[in-house]
Amino acid sequence: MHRFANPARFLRIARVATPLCLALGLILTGAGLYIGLFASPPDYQQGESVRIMYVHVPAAWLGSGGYFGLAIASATALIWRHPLATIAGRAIAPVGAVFCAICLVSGALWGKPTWGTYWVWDARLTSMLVLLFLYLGYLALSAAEGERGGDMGGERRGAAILALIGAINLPIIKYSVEWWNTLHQGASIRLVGKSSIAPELLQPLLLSIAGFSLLFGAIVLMRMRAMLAQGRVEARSRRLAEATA
Amino acid sequence: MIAETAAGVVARPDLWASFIIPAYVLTVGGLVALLAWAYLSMRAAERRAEEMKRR
Repeated sequence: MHRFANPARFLRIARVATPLCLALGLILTGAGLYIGLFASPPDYQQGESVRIMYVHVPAAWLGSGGYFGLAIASATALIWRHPLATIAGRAIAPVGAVFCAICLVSGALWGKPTWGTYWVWDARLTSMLVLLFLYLGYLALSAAEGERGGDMGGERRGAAILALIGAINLPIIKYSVEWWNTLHQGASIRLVGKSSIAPELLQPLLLSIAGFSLLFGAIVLMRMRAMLAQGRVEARSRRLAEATA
Repeated sequence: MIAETAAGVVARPDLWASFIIPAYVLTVGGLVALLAWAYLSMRAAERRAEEMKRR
């Protein structure tokens, strides 16, 4: 991991990986959403509203998966104090927050025709809302710490600690449908054992999940490249100012 | 507005306009906005860094 934490090496890899993730992500997302919207059959129980699943599930996966990445980056920043880990966390947080918000709103749009209500204080929905607040808290704290310590120099330890404490919410989200009697259904896709979802519905869903994940990766890489470039500008400006003083 | 289709699936024509299309517009719109923001800010920052390097 330390090998890739070198900013120059990271930039070399990111310059190759960004267009690849972007192109492949656009193709897979486009295919997944097209099949999900027009070519896949309606569900025998949910009817046409099952099509919302092809945007809701990838958004939920990236909302919580993004927070897992944020927690890993925060732990790395706290333990090894590597600025690239802080930059990774700052790049992930706004993207994860947007996906978390999309998950909540698309879930509400699915809930109304299926459950008869946009929102219930169900364990899964509430824990997902808490995740959005954790993202917003991280962003606010990180911005406040950045103002004090400069864009690259600030370690943003408070934000990293908040991200790590908030990671306790991830197993709560995952197991909420098993621990509590929730309105939200249990997992339909299983890594071990048979998935309870029909293959005709599973195929576009997996395409969307893969496509959205690659686009998420491309966005995070672009954000990290922007922050590194901004850091270089600030460092050079400081040196120029010191030289002319 | 609820109707039973030949396959026995409950069809509600208002589902598309009221729920499915808004969910897709929101998601695709959010994704495009994120991609545009990330790409434009990266291009601007890297251009500034290049200009600064040339000075």
